Amino acid sequence: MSDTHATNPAYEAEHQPDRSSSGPFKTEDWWAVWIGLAIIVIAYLLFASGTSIKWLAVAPAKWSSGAQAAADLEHHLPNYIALFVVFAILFGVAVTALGQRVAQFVPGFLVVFVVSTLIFIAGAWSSSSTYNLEPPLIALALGLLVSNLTRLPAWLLPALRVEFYIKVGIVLLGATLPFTLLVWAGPVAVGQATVVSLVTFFVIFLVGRALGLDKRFAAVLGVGGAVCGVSAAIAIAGAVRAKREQASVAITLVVVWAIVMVFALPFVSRALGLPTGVAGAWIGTSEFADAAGIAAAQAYGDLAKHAENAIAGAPEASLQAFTLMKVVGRDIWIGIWAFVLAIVATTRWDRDEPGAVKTQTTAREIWTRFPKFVIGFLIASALVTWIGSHYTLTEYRSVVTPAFVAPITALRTWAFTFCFLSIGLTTRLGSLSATGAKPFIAFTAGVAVNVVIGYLLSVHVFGAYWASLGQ
Amino acid sequence: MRDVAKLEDAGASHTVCAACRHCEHDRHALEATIPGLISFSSGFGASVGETRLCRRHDQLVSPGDSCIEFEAVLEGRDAVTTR
Repeated sequence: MSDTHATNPAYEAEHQPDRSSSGPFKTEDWWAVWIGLAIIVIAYLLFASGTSIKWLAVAPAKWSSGAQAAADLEHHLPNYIALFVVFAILFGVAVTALGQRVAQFVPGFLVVFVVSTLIFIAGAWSSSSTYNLEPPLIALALGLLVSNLTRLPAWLLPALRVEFYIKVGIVLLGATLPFTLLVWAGPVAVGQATVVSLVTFFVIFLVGRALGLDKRFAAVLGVGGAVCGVSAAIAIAGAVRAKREQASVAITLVVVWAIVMVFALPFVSRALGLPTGVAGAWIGTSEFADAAGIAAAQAYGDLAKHAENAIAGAPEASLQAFTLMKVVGRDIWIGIWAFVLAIVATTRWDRDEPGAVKTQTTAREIWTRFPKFVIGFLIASALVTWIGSHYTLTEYRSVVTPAFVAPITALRTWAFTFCFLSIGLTTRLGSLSATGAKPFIAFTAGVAVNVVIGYLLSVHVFGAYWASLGQ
Repeated sequence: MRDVAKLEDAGASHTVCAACRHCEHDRHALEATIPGLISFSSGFGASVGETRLCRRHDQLVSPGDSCIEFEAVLEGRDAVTTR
């Protein structure tokens, strides 16, 4: 038996260990809910009192020369500084509650914010679409290059909270997604996602078993590919009491394939001329991680925005379809997967191959692992839909959108950009686990089946449905 | 040792991972020991739940799990076992 005392005094000194992970202030999910909803409520209160958070939700204007970009940045510098301070305070409170020192978070976050600003500015270049310089892909590619070609300073790492930023962004995304759309499209998303998830899981699990992989390992690989990537892999690894190495290998495979898909799916979708809603549904079905999928879906939306009607559908439909498929269709079932597999592991696998550790499983597992940020996403959607119901369509477009919804969308884009940059900066391919041929083959078989079935369902079976999204 | 107290309240009658010195209770340790976890997820998300790393078995465990290699945490005067 190995003894993985990976922590050291320096590591311990950097952190304030916090053992508890239950309660509304002890997970990133809940903090994403509080921060996202606080932003929305404050934005509404200011909007209702005749003003707006527009001054805070700054974004670079389109530019065609360096002088133009510099002038715009200089003009809005106070806005950028204010935005940094507000984000630093909100995120600082959250990371402190999660046991990290805020003094260690802020310097790294300053770098993340400044580089994100530069990426945002690059994306506002009038010729950026000519070179496919979509901000999500720039952020990812830049982060990957830097982290894999250089050694990042340790002080930067505490600010690279991929999952936290994406969850905050998803809650804010709820404010721009009508609740009626969730009700209308949710059942189709759940149906399509269920088919693909079950098929993908059993392909990976059965191929893995045929290759001689341990049942627990095959299950971790299977759900990692079928549900929500790295989060699913760690959830199921915990539920079935997998070895750390098994979780590491599964996570490595998810990360590698997620990075491949984040670049491949938007470009293949564009080559096939898929409407934005259809491409978003395909990405939501066949991408393995929320953060990677949102990068791909947003990149495709940006491609559509700049393609001057060459891609059918509203640019926003790509992100909406992705979110419906991935968050509503796949992510929310992670607790059920964990509970069911924990029961199977306890009652069947432990009986066949007794392990050293005696385990217990309760139905509480379902709620404990439930992605709570989805609750914030739904509340945000319902709240803004309710607010919008008090206005006519004309008033909504001319008054509510520019002063209330658009600034929230801008803040969401900031959160996503922090996330995309952090993905690149935390993905050091050399530090990932060696996977071995058998897990790679099993997982890749699932990837192949997932991509094909996801394409068929999104484009042919439900194509008309997804294409009508956002129209 | 809130986890242990909860388990005691629930009638746990044996030594458990929540009170074991081999169990790495800090969630930062999951991020530090599982490569790639922070790239698309986190040790602080809901999906992790109560899962922690047992350094003895190099295995993911829950607070209520147990094994014969249990060794109580020595925390000041509170050497903890659950009955």
